[in-house]
Amino acid sequence: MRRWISISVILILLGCLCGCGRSQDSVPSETTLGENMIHLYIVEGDRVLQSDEDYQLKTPDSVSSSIDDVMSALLLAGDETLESYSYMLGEDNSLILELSVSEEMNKEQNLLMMAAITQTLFQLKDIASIQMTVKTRSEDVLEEQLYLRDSFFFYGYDEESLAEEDICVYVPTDDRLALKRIVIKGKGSPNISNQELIVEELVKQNVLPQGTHVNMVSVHDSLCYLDLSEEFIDGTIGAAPELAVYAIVNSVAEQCGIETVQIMVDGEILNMYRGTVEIGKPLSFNSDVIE
Amino acid sequence: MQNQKETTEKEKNEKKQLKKREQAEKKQHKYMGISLRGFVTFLIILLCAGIMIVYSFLSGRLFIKRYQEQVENNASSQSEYLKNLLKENGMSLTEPEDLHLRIEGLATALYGRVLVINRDYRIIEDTYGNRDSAFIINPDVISVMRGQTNDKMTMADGYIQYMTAIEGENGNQGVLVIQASIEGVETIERRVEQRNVLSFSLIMIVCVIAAWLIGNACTRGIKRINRQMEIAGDGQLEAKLDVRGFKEFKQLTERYNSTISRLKVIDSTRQEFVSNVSHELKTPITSMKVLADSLIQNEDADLDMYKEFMSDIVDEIDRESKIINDLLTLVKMDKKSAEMNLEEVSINDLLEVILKRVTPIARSRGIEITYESYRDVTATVDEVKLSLALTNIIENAVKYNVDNGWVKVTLNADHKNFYVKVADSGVGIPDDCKEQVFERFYRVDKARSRDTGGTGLGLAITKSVILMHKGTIKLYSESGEGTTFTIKVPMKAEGGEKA
Repeated sequence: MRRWISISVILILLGCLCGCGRSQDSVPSETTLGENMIHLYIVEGDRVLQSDEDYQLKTPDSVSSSIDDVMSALLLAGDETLESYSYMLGEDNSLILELSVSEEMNKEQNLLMMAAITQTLFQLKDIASIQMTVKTRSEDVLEEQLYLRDSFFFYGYDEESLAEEDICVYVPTDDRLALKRIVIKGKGSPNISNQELIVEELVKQNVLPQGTHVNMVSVHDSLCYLDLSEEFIDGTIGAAPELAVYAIVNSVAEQCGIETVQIMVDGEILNMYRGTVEIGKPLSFNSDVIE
Repeated sequence: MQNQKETTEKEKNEKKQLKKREQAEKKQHKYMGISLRGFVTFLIILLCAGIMIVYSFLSGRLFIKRYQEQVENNASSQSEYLKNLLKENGMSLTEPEDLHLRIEGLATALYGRVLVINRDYRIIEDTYGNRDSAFIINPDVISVMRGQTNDKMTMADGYIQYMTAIEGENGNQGVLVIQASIEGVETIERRVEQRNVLSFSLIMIVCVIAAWLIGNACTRGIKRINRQMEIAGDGQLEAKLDVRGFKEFKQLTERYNSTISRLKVIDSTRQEFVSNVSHELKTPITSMKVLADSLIQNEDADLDMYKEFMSDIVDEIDRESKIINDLLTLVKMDKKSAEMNLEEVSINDLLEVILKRVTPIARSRGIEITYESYRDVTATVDEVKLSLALTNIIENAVKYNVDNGWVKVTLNADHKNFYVKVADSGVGIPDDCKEQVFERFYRVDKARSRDTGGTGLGLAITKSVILMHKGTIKLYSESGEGTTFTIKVPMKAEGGEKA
């Protein structure tokens, strides 16, 4: 009995030693917003940060009132560089925003402030663009710029709300005869391209074979070279080969503003994919396969 | 049939009892402490595991560090070239014409991404094609653009990032961000880790076996001796252990064998002593019985005969009594607690008293006793015990002497010891008996000893007394010519020594 206990102790000890250094997978934290609530973004130092407290829209049905509320809240939450604001909402949901800032404001502070404001305001769904003019008290125009939802790239930010973005992906319809467009939230990372996010999503949706991943992405002018792993050729796909290929091409073309996509497998350009789809040349967006 | 059943049940019960006893013994041993084998095994395993972990950790880290340094150097050296081109052409991506391709080539070579950011923090080139024309918001980029730091190397999950300023005439005109994938490092790290785990497991299996064997080898000798000691403990002193194994075990085995040999001698002496005591005690009783029987059977025995026989019986009783007294004296001296009543005694006076007591016996046989003292000797001794010892020697010189012989007693001393020499013209002691004369109940001539009234304990008592005084006794004898006993006793005896 004692011998067995000794052997067990030794084995447990060895097991513990072997297990040393294996890190536990971290569970990503999620921030959830309540109904009619938005994050407020403020500038702190050289960073744009999410305010500790989220903002409850008082009049969610009225975009104009909401803009006023949000800007007032930002005025209170931020530092004293932003002094006043005025705005006008256009018919095409374009917001014209004029900001009055302190004289001491430098270029970086100005950039960060605009990033924080646009990031906050674009949470209001009805705003399509923001035409922002930044003036000093003495009416000197510091900045005049049109901002869209993707005008700012929060590079290397851990905050999910800043890092994530809308990714447009084409996936097969339920009857698997055509493709449909869906929008997902993708958490960007400095070393992960949108193309990789798209391929990951398509693998999740069983459009592409399990294990398929992007080896490399390279964009030259309007041509994107997308190098996929060998699983793309042999694995099981959940749709016709043509749909699988165009799910990639259409998604990449639309999301990344690319005209043509050259698919490669392990660094090589193949002529045919599964004997049915020609992939030897760059492919462009194909609207025929969309329902 | 009934008997067979009973026998079987009895055997079963005996087996059960034996098993219980063995279990009880095991249980008793179980709580004696940590076993040497277990300890050695555990220690070796621990040592090997420690060495393996340190080795794996260090080798893995070193390998990865070198790889990372290579990637870092590659990224920074490549960036210099691009940076210079951008600087020379005022951040233009069209001059030289192939600059765009070169940027693409760098990103491909590093399995990473290259971002070119202009002074307005606008991304003018993104090899991923995702963020062209977007404004970059990043504190490190701002820090580099402002010139707070010229470049910055960071490592994140799966890539190394190198940011460097593109200098211009009026401060920095942009920032170049290069990402180099280190997924290769991670793959290598995983492989190294897998290899380490595999080699660790294999080595640990070997270590466990080796530790077990070493542990066994360390304790095998001890176990062998332990087993033998158990047998010896049961009274079997015959078997000796083979001297083999490691040096320490050889020494231990030799020591064990030597102890066992001594034990055997002691055991044999004890048995002999018991036999001698029995014999010596029985002899007077047998004589008395014979005398008493003779009187009973002889109906015509007259009063003189009765008186003579009764006188003999009294003699035998005296002898028995003497033997018992001598034995008691020996036992007392054998005890560790035997106390010495030390006092300053004049050895000259002591010898004179003894000689006065012995002289009448000597005269009756025409033996001449001469006493020669070279100086007055006063020593710290136990007078009673020393008197007994010297009396025994001098009496023996008279008893075992020839008629009309001589006994010469000499006393001398130096600053440390005094010497008493007793020489006689007696029968002497044969060479083969010289070593045994001090043993209990040993007699050179058994018939003669009894005739002279000896118990066979006299010289044993003498030797004990001398040893208690930390002295020595030696004898020189020639068979048929006489014997000389030389006794050396320290002038100041301190404590006693077990005889």
